[in-house]
Amino acid sequence: MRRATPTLLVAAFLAAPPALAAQRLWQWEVGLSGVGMRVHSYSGPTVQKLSGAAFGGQGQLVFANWITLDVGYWQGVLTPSAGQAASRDVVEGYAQLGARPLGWVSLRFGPHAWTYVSNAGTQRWFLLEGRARVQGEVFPEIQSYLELWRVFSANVNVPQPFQTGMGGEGGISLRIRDVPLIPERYPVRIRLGYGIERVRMEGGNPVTVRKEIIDRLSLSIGIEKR
Amino acid sequence: MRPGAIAALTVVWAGLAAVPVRAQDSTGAMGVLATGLRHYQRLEYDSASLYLRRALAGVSGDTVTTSGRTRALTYLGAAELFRGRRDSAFTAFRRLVVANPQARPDPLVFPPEVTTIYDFAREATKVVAAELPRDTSIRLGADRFRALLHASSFHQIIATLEREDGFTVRTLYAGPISDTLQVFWTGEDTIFLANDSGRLVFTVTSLTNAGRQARVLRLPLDLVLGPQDTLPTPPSLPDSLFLPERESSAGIRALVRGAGVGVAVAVLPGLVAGGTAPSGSRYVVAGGLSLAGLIAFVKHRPGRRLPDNISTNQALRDGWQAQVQMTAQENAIRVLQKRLDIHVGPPEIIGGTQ
Repeated sequence: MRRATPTLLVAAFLAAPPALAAQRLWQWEVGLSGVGMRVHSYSGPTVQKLSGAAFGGQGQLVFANWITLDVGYWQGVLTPSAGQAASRDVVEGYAQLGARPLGWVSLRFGPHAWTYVSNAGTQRWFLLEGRARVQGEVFPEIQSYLELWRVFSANVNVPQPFQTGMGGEGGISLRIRDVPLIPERYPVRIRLGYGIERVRMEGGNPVTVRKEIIDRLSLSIGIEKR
Repeated sequence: MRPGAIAALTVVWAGLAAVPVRAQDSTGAMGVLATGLRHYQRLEYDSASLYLRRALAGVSGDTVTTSGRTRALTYLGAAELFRGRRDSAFTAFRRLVVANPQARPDPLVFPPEVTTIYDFAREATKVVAAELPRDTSIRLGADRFRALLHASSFHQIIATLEREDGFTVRTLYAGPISDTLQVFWTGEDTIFLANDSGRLVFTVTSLTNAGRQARVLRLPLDLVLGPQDTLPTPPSLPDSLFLPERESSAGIRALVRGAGVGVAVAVLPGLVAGGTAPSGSRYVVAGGLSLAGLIAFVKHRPGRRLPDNISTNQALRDGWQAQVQMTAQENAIRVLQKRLDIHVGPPEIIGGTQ
């Protein structure tokens, strides 16, 4: 994995188009999205498998084509897909500040948190992540993107301390200009993406391993001003 | 008194006497003119007349400028009139008309008596002044040489081109002139030149009311025939102006961005989560990406012809070719045409009031 991540990033960098000059001081993008989630919670020998959907929205603000602020919020319900686990409500969000050194590369850093609420109690996950994202044009109106991230620290109300965490997401987005009822200066962007994240914790007394693997299939639709 | 003392006194007296003369001379003809005008303003017409005549006659070889001459003659005419010398005033104004047919005493400065006698003088004086470019070039058969004539008053004139021996090459105009008149010459009479250079004389003859020759203005034209300058051929179009006519690597890049990212999505669970319970939904995204990449690759496959760019480039080449042809045609005309350089010499006046 440690070799594959840089290889993927380099390949994607080489495939990306050159940066475009900034046209506006402020650019933004806002959208609504639905996320199909699959969660595998490993705690020692036991595993809980849940799936469900969460709905919410996300947005991005870009200043001077350089500084970025990304925010997102979703909430939904996860139900057990196998075993005797209880249903959970899930609330997830992030707020990350970043930079775009090149038009096709962006880096960001900040908190990503989610909370499971069930009859057994509330489990809070608070992660500090650093993400790198590259994007490139397949067709003039179709873009692909690939994002990889690493968890630098995590604060979870479970006995085991944080060990490692990483994730990745890739997808495709389509920009449409002539959408009825929406002014042409606000193109509509539809994005389909798949992402997966794993957080591993190990320790406690007795020593146990806890893993949280979440994969997400997200579909979003929004408008942008660039 | 001793002879030595007498000689010394003589030298001192001569020196003292010469001082004002030298001072006056140092100011030149224009200074004398200014003195004359000051005397005129003080109504000292006798001394004004004297100074103005001295200015016109020139002091120590110095002469007044053209505008100074016009002023001097105007004020001289007025001064002579106020001295009661109508004939002298009339003569001064005739000289003014000859020197500058367009000059008029300012009615805000001079009373009607002055302007009236000037009008009489102008009416009685039939002269023409010619305004020509000192050096010019014309294309034979395409351009014309222009002379602008200013007349003092209505009269008949004959404008001709003559050889130096007096042979009339062409009569450019014969008829009345009232104020101004433009006379054109196409330059075709250069066949009268012995070789590619020579001299013709532009002559304007003013006639009296009785039809007799009153005054002749002669301006020598030094002519040089030469080849017409040709236009340079337009430079070849630089390659940077042309669009690529065939696809290069755009399809491959699109394939990498589409199918490449699609494969990356497909293997993400293996890379990130060690292959633990991957979701099949990733194939939806990976498939979409791969399909888009493949379509883009097929559409932009390397070596594919780009008809839009080809037609744009062809239009560019056609435009350049048309420019080249136009330049060649223009140059073919210019080779047949000749250029005539004309230098106008100093005027010579025969007859009339000088």
